[in-house]
Amino acid sequence: MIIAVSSKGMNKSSEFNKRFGRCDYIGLFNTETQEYSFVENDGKNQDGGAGPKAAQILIDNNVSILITGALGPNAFLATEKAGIRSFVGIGEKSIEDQVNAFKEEELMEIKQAKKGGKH
Amino acid sequence: MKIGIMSGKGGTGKTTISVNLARALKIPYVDCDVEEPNGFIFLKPKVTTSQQVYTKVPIIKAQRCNGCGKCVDFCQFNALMKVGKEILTFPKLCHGCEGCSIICDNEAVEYAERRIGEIEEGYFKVDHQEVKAYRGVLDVGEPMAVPVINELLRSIDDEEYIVVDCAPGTSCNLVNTLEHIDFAVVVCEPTVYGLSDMKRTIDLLRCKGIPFGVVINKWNEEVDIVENFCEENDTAIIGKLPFSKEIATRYSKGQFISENKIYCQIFKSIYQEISNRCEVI
Repeated sequence: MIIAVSSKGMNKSSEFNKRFGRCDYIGLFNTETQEYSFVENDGKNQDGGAGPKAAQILIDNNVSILITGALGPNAFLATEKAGIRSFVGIGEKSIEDQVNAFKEEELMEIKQAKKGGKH
Repeated sequence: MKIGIMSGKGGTGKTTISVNLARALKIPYVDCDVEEPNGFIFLKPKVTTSQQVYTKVPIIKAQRCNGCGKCVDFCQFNALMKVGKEILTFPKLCHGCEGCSIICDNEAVEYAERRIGEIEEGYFKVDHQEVKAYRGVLDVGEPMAVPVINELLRSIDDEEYIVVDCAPGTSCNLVNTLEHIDFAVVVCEPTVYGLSDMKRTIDLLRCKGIPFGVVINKWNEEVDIVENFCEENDTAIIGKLPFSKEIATRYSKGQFISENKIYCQIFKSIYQEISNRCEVI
């Protein structure tokens, strides 16, 4: 399966990004190949709809698990519809650390949306 | 002739200047700051008509949709998403361009209407004379004010001079209002923050070729950063409202500053400066 992590940089030692809709990159970890790849988040500079745009990236990459800080109402709806489970990452640790923490079942699941962002 | 009262920084005195100009000169007032209209607090007009404002919402007809996702790729506002074969809509992000319907090969997109706010028209009395007042009010929780602003400005009867109280800043709310403005009054307070934000507004006005003049609110003779800037940048100052306890007291009580004869004269002279410059237009 594919685990996605919102990221500030383009490799597995980059710092975790708490924001989802406006993160710089989305890290993708493939549990079968044990490999990381990174996608730039096009939605981060858009006026509105950043959450749905980032969620579309997850859907297009067959993501099953997302690790991020929190989800706004649009992103929450979209990921729920897509059957993606979301977990709260540990601030300031690397992308690789987040994936390992998830494997160790140390992360809390995100069960509700936070308030929406500005238009 | 629509006179737009605007500022870079919020809280500099747009509504103070707007309502007092409207009252002192008995000219119609329009509140285009539809996210937080406050002019009616001072004018207290009798509202005679009210009209709802709607925007479009896309509805995907499931029986006709084949999940191709062309509409999702097309939408510039991320109001549509493809999850598996299903298309999800985010109504509050939709700008009503109807591009999704045009791009769809299967006629699977239709539109419903959704209320986003309302516009009100009424009048206030000055010395027994009725003066028109209009405002737009965006519903709480709605992210897009522009459709309400456009509907409001379209519904106004043209008069010789109209005061338009604009939204603060230089975002799309103001940019859309500027399409209807003939002369701009930029209200500035003599602070570093105020001046910095005013520069953005002036850049926008120059870019759009709209003539303008600056009114300094909360003016005091010891602080001349706004005057220095205007002198160095060929910008006219068309009025100065002093930093005074009496003005602050009146404002805090929701009263008109122009009821005081001295201040009333300041508003009359601002109006004179505006109409001199407007004659040239």
